[in-house]
Amino acid sequence: MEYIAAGPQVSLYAALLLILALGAAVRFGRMVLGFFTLPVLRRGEVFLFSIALGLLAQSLGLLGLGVAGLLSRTAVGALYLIFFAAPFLVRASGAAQAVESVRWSLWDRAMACGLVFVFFLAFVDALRPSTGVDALAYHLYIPEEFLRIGRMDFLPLTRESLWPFNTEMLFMAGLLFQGTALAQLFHWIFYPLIAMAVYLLVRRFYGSKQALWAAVFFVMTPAAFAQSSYPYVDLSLAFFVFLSVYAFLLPGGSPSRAGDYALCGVFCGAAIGTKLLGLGCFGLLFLMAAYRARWNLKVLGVFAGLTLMVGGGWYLRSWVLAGNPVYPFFHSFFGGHGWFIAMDQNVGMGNGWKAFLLFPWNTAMFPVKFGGQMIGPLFLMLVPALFYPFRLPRSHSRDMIIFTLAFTIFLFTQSQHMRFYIAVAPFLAVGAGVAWTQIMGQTSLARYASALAVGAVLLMHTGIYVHRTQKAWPVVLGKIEARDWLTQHERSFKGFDYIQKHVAPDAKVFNGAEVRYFYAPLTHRIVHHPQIDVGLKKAGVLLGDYLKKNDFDCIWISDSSDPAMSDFVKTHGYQPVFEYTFTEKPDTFYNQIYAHPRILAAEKILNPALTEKI
Amino acid sequence: MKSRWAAWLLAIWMGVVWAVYVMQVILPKIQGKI
Repeated sequence: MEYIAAGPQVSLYAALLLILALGAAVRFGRMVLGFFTLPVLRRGEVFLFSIALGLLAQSLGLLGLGVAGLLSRTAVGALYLIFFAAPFLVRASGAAQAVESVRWSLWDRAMACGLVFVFFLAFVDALRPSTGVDALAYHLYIPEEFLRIGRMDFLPLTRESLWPFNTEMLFMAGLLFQGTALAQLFHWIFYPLIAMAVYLLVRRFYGSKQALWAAVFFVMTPAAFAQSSYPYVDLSLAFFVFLSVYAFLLPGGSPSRAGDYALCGVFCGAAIGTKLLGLGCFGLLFLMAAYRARWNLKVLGVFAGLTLMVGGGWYLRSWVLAGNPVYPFFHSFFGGHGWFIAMDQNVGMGNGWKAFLLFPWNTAMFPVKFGGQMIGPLFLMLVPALFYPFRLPRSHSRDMIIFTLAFTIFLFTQSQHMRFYIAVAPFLAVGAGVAWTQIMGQTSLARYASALAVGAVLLMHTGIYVHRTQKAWPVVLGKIEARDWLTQHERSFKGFDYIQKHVAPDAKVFNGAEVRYFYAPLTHRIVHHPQIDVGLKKAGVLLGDYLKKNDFDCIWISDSSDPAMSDFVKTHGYQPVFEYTFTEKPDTFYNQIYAHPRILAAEKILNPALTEKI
Repeated sequence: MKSRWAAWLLAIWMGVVWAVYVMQVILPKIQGKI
């Protein structure tokens, strides 16, 4: 419970540190960019690629320190000093730049202001204390564990400690130097960065009018907005997947020089180092590069070699430490190291080709069936535009359509969680931006009807954004303490808070209720049931026997816990000492903490007053 | 876009998607809040 802080000072400090980290990223990345052979880039593109390379370098540097067991403020601070100082010492040729002024109309400026407003809302939302299942179950919890033990070891009780964690490395730096606000800002920053990437790509290949609309279509995707304030990795994955394709298209034509694929290889490496799903991006671009360069082995060697050099470290680490590069998946293929995980439980509306054809409609209209994240109706509205005879420029449109379709099919075969498809949203936004500008360019009255529909959606989504952010303001402005805010808004907090305040640190605690471990007090010995569940089942040990053998002082259960736990506490004399309910629409969770009579007698429950309430 | 019909068809489709989205997603959300 070391990371509970929010308020104006915290926000300012986190924002300042983010600016410093981004400054280091731009400086260092720009130096690295100088080593690539690239066509003439626009100033914005140099900034975009530099910041991407710089953030990637920070992740890899932190991985190196973590593996070496050097996760201290001094060592990480020294790493950041190197990122600042290295550009002074190393001279790279520097990418050629072109400055192009774009004339923005009043309407364009108003749209840009709208985008800045949305980024600001997301920024404020990112400054509240952390909540959310996966965030607290591993995106923040595992970096917290790494920091606690000072190195990035294999944590055998978790399933995620060997996953590719580029973005979590940034979260780790955030936790190390400030706390959850900085960690969350490290994910938030990818929201404006993707919008910028979409804008720049469309401006390069289609025009500035289309570019602004494409950025608007991406930013107004509610799933992207919602993700930006959580320490997840879906936006960073989307960013590096998009940049991989951007770099693939950049040389234009049919390049067959190996150097033309180097930047694409590096960004693909960043994608596979961010999330296992990035492997799909790598596979597809490998095939596309092979087709375009006519199976030129040098091209493929440079492309795949750089991808593996940049992102392969995570897979090597997993292979060395657990005998499986994608632990714990595909365990039967990798000598039984790992176990089966059903990622798609209760998500989606079928798996066949009919379900795939209906997927765009279903995801827009039934978001609850796809994990609750909203993709919105804008892309669906513009689907018919695919069949209009637009005169689109050459090969890059075709390449982007092929990649988008193939990557969507790949994701569809893996999982139907909507947030995974945020990686496709920037490409859809490109198509939507281009199509929409064409539609608006026509003379028919029909365009006003279309504009009305799109405008109404943009307004509604802005309303949703404002509403979503409402609960963050009081804690970010310091009107509510972070601890009180978490009590109201985070399901796991009250239970862990009780344990920290009212259970003696030497008591043995069994958490049978929560997968969100991040707020578990580090002062206590807590065994988390979800972490040992697989091991118990593999060993054929019954939960009741395990509880009996370990003789816990406190057992925390909820109504979603294994019924064996409630049977156990009731038949072994445990007494309820604390209970609470928590509603997370549409579910309500009822939690109870039981104590063994001996610790009540030994006064290891430190505040009997709370006990008396029950 | 060459065909006026095509433009109108697209506008009608957009209107239909919008209406279903409002009924299916937005209104239940608002009612849930109340």
